[in-house]
Amino acid sequence: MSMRDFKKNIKTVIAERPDGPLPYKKNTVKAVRARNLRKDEWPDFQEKRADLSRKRIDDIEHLEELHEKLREKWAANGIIAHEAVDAQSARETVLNILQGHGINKILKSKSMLSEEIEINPFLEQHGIVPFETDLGEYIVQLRGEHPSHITMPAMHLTRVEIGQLFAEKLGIEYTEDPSELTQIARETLRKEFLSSEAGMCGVNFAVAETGHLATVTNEGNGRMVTSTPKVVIALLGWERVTKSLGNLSMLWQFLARSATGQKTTVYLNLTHGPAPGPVGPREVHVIIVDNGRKSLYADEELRPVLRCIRCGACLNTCPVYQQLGGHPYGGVYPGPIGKVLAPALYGLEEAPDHPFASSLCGACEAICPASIPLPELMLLLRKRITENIPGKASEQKIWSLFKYMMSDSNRYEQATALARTAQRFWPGRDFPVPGWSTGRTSPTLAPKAFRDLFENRKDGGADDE
Amino acid sequence: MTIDLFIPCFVDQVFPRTGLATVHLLEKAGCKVRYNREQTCCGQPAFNSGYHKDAQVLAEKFIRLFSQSEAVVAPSASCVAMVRKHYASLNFDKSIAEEYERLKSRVFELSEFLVDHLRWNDVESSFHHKVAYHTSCHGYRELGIYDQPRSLLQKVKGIDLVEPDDLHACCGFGGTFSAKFPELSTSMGEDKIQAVLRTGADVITATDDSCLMHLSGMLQKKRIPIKTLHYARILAGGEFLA
Repeated sequence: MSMRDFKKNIKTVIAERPDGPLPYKKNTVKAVRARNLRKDEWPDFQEKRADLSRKRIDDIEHLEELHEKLREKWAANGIIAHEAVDAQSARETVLNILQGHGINKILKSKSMLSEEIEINPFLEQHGIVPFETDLGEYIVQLRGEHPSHITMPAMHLTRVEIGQLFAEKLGIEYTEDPSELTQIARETLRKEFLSSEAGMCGVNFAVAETGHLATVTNEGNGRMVTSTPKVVIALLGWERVTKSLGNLSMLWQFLARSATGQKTTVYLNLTHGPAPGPVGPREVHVIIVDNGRKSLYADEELRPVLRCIRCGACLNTCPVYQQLGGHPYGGVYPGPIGKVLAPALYGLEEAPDHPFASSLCGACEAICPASIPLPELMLLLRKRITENIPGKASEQKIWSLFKYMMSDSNRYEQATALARTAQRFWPGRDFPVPGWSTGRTSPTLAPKAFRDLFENRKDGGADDE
Repeated sequence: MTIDLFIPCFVDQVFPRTGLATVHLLEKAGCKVRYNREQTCCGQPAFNSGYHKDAQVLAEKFIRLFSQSEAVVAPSASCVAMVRKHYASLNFDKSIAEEYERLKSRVFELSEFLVDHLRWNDVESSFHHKVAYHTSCHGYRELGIYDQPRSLLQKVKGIDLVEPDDLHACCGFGGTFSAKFPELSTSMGEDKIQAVLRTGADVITATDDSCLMHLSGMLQKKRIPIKTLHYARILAGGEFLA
C-alpha cells in the first residue's frame, strides 16, 4: 500500500478487516500496559523523562560536533566511515563494499533504516541475498511483506498465520506454539550465522565519546551478525548519535521500557571496531545516512522530530494505529511518528493525508520518552499542506465562508436562524452531513440558541426552551 | 466576581442547556455572570484543518472581545485548550500578542474554575443513574482536567460514577477528523461504546459536548439506549437534564 493512498487504504482496511480481535490492537494494548507498569516503578518518571528529552535535545543541537568526534574515534578504532546523502547512495555504498569482497549473501539484524533505503530489493537485483535474522523481520520477509511496526515487525500477524507460513515455506509440520516456532527459526538461522561472510545491522545510537555503535536486540541476532562475519556494515541515521555512554544507558532503558515494558533489552551490542584477533570481523563499515535528515535539522519547526529514538510507543498508544495496524500508512514509518516523518522526509505531496488522519488526542506526545510534540507537528504540517499542495487548497472556500460567518455575530445569527428554519422541514431532522452521517445521526439545532435563552432569562423570563 | 461566559458555537446552537447549566452553577457559586452575544467560535475547526489565517481572524476577535474580562469560563475543555495553548502558534501582531499573553491565564474550563479557583463544591443535585465518565483528550492531556469534574460529580446524590476500560482513549471525534475519516472515527467510537456497555452505565458524561455529540450520534444510529449528558447538566440537575 502506498503513502499517497493512505486515505483510501484506511477505508479498504476497515471495510475488509475480519470480525473479532485484531492482532495489532491486542499487541499494542499489551505493550502499552507493560510500558505503564514499568513507568509506575519509577516514582520520578517524569523527571527522568524530562532529563532524557533534554539529553536528546542537547545531542541534536550538537550533531555536527558529535559527528566530528565520532570521525576521530572511528579512525582510531579502525571503523571505516561512509556518508550517504540519500537512499540511492547508501545502497550503492553497501553494494560496493560487498562486491569488493565478492560476497553474495548478507545477514541482517533488524534495521528500519535498511527498510527506509530499500536495500533488500536492490541487493536482490544485483544477485546478493539479504537474509533477515530478526524473528519478526524473518517472518515478514518470508511473507514478502514489509514490517507493520518499527519495533515489532510482525505484530499484525496471529500465531496461526505464522504457523501456516512456517509450514508452507520451511516444509515443517504445522505448529502454532510460539516457543516451537522460535526454535525452528533459531535452527534455520543458526546455519546461516555460522556460514556468513557479511553482516548488516542498524545502529540505535553511536556514542561520540568512545565511537561505539550500539545496537539493541532481544534475540541475540544483532550480536551474531556483528561478530561472526568477516565484513560488518552498520547503518546509522545521521541523527542517531549521543554524547556519552552515560546518555546511552538512559536511552537504552527508555527505549526498552517504552517499546515493550522490559527494563532493558536482552542484548545490548557495542561494536568498537574490527576484531583484534583471528575470530570476528576484519572490516567494520559505518554508513551515515542523511536521506532528508539534514533538511529536517535545518527546519527549526520540525527539528524536534529528530529526537525520536524509534521505540514505537506512540504507535502502540495511538487509537488510529490500533484500528489499522501499520501497512495502510504505506512507507516505512507508520503511526504518529510516521504521520510527521513521512511528509517531512519524503515531501508534503508524498504523504498529504498523514498529518490529517489524527483526532489530535495527544496520547502519542504523552507517551513519547523524548517528549516530541507530535500533535503540534501534525498541526504544523496540516498548515503547510493546505498552503502548499494545490489539491488540498480546495477546502479553502469552506473555511473562508466559515470565517466570514463566524467573524460577525449578526451573520452567525442569521445563518443559524436560516438553518433552524430549514431543519423544521427536514424529515426526522436528521440532516445528511457528508462524512459525518456514516454511522451517526446528525446533531439537531435546539429550538432556541443559548444566546436567546440567556437574553430571555435576563428579562425575567423563564429559562425553559 | 464577574464571569464572562464563553459558550462555544455548537453548544450555543445544539446544547443550550449545557450553557444554562453553566450559568446556574456559576451563580450558585456566587458569581455574577455576563454573556456577550458578539461571541461566536474560537476558531478551532479552521485551525485544526490547517487554515491558520482564517482561524487567526476568529482568534483575534475572541481576544478583543474578552481582553477586559476578569475571568472567562467555558463548558468545553477543547475550546479552552485551543485558546490557552494553540493560539500561541498563530501569528499575532505585537499588540494582540500582548493582549493574548494577559488573557490566556484567565480562561478556564468550568470545573477547573469551580474547583481549582473558587474551591466550590456545594453540589445539591441528585441523579440516580450509573454514569460512565469519559475523559476528553484535550481536557485531560492539554489542560490536566480529570479530578475536578469527577470530584463534583461524586457529590451528586444517587450517582454511581464508573470508568470504562481504556478511560483515557480517544472517543474518535477529533473535530473535522470525524467527517474526513468517518470509518476511523466511528471505529474508535465503537471501541468506546463497547467499553461503556461493559460498565453497564446508562449515561455517559464528559467535559465536552463535542465528544458526546459524536457518541450520541452513534448510539442513536445503533439504537442503544444510553444517554449522553454534559457533566454541568448533571451537577445543575432538575430542568437542565431534560
